[in-house]
Amino acid sequence: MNKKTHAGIPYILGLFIVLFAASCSTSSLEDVKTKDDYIKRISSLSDSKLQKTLKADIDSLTSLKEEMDGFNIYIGFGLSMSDGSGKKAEVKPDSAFKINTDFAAIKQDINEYSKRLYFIQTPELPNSKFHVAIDEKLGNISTDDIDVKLKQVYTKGRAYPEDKVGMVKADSATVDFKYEYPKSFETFKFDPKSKKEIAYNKQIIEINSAGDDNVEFDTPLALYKDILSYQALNPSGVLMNASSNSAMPLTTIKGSIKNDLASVLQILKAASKLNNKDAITRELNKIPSSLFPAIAKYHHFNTKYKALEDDKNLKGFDAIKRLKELMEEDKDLFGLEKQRFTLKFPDKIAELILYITREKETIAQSAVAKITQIASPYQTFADNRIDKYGIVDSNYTIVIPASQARLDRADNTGLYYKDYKEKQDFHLDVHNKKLIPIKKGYTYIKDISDHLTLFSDSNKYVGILENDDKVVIPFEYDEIEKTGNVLLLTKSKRGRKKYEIRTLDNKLVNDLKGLKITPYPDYGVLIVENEKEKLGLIDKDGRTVIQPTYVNLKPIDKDLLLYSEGSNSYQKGIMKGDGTKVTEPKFNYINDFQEGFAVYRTDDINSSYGYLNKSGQPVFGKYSVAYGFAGGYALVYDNNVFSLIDTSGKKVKQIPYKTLGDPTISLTGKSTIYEIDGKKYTYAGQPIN
Amino acid sequence: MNKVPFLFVAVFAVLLFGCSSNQKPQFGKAPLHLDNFGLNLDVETFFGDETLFRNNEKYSVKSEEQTIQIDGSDSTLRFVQYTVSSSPVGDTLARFNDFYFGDLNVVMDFDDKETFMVAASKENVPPGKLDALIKEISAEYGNVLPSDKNNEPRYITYEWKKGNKLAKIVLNVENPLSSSNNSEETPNINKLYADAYHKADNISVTFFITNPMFDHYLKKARSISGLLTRY
Repeated sequence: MNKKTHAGIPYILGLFIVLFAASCSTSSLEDVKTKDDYIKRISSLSDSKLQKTLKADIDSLTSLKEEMDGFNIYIGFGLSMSDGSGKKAEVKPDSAFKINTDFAAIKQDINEYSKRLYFIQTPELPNSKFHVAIDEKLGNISTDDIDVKLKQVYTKGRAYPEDKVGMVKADSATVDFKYEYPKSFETFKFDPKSKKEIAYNKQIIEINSAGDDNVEFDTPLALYKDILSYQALNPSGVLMNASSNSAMPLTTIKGSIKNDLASVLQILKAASKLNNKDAITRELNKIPSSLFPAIAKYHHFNTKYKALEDDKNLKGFDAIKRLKELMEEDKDLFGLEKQRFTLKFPDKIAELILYITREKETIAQSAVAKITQIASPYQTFADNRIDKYGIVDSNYTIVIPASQARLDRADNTGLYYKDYKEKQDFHLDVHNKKLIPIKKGYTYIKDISDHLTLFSDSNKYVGILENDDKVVIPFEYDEIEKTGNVLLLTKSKRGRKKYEIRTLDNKLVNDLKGLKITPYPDYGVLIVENEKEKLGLIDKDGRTVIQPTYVNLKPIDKDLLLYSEGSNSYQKGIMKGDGTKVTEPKFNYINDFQEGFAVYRTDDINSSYGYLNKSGQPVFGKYSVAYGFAGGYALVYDNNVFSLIDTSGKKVKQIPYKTLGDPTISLTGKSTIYEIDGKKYTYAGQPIN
Repeated sequence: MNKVPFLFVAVFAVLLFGCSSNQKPQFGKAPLHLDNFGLNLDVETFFGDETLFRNNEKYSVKSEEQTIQIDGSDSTLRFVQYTVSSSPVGDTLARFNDFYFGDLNVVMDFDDKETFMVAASKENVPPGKLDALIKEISAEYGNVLPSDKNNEPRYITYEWKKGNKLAKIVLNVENPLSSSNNSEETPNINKLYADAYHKADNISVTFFITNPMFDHYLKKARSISGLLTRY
């Protein structure tokens, strides 16, 4: 559990806008726009009116101060971690919070971080934007908490400051980064129901609400930065993690404005005790001039906010967007001074526990980051000076000048673009450097071939256009997938799916009436299932080559299938794509072929795993457990030893372990990483530090 | 007055009247009448609005192709089950005279031609309303069929038969006979049932109209799902 884990979480289970903006009051002082106007106005009043006006101003500003003190805007996303069953789960003790005290490992991860840094350049005018990141997570540090600043970017050895780079394509960049981590922490416990405010090291925690199992409190930002985590104890002393939590910045009226207001109140009160008009005027001259425009701006914001609140058409994210725009317009008013925590626990809260940093260490370093390219030959760029979008090639040379109000790349070919607002798609004609609008109402989905493209129409039906214009496959399908040399089309009527196979020029090849279909695009074939749950095969040209007669049938390599026949789904064999059997069904398990070998399993008690070649013959040894080949090696386990074997079956490396457990493996060729007993190894068994 | 236009209008009016009086039921337009129901729903018309299955703002209907397998035999029956997966709260989708149902299932043969079953349900039914419903079904279908003493259902169930149609209501109230062996001595099962559901809270009722063939398959099915599990 980390106090920042919820920030940026992409799935939003709850959305709350909490606004406390009391209705605005008006009075004479609040109506005046400048300090000079106010002094002039006061000076023109008779003595009796002057005292009345001062009293009215004190009342009005007191009310305004209360209003501003209570003003906060909180736009938050709640993350619920409940199981969704709605049942009250039994409260099980969670483990106590602890920090990583392997400081050497933290420093090692920071070094690793500096080596793996890369940046993405987003071409923009007048200057590109840069985002520095690393791909992998590091075990001992939270890379999200690293404060990274780009210093300078380079192209072919020439340095550019970030604000002078324009759309020159950078190849590397220097960055400064800073990481702060706790070396020790304190445990701060309190009963949230007992107080409205509680102090920690002279910093006030304000408790807004405390229910049986939930609490909402605000902390100053300085304290928030030091809160590492939170838990609670139930009345039986069981330690609980929060079942839902959010911690969001609280936008308040700037402290300087509130301080000005407090000082003006003091000045007005002092002035009201004076009898002499000149003395009063002198006292009132102490009022800071900056307060008047701030009050005017505050009332202006409140009027706009009221209009937003009354606009019934603005809901959800649109309302938030508009609110953010309003706040941006009057940003001088607002400051971030607090953080709001909203926590819910699985049981009653007897004590809330905050874990707060006591000692911390900061590591500051510089590093060089390399550019990472986007995988598209063309992409959009924004010209922020005119708020328009255009298209550049992979060298950031302009292909289409910035002329579109909105433009988003639709796919990795970089040849299709969308204006989501206008619901208009475009095709990039690279040769003539033109952006060609596609028929209105059609939305680009993907290319099927050089000249055939899959689109959806305004009714969400899909079809295929030739050269973005001529309808080849009519818009009456739910899905169209290219499988092998043909198209698998899915149509539905009253929600019932019907499949058919057609050629690219819309000739019916196979009407799959009543059959269920599973496409295997990697092998270019389809498996069909009839009402008796028997499976058959359709080849890359859409022909039924194996009738639905098998209980198991699955492609495991190009032109090879796993099969089971009769009613015995436990015994599996291998057959060719034309139905010719390569092996009898005598294996319990056969995996997909990887690098020419498929792992199989038999009934043998100890050494049940082995490898089959493409002729279906078992090759080299048998093992207690065997995994697929990756990069010319495969991991096996037998005689209590993990080993890597090569493609001749020779054991080339042993991998040690102390505690036996299932290894974690993602087979991706030479990028494969084996994790055994907490240690990582490359595809060839080299330890990864 | 020229008589030709008058005649034309009159014929047109008669045609219009004729059309409207013979109009086939359409989902969402009006509750489906289950009284004097012919068990011959034309789903082409009833679910004719394709948006019901795609992006209807008010209703959402899903269809599932299913197969019933009979335990210990190769005998199978394929059918299509239409289920209303969402409709406005409090909406009424079907009615038996004045008794309205808020949930509806339609089961058709695989070719969508023959109606195997229509099932409708309602929750929070007061016992008095149930008394009236049972009375009205009995008025159309005749007396309640005697229960199968060798196979008492778990929940209170009433069954009727009329020609080639079976009607059945199942309440979510435990059958007082299912856990005891004294049904032989119970002189009036209907009174026992009525006493039981009159004491119950939050009664939900599911009403089925089906044909004997589908009834047979459902009773022998290896597994079934959805509203059919209440059968």
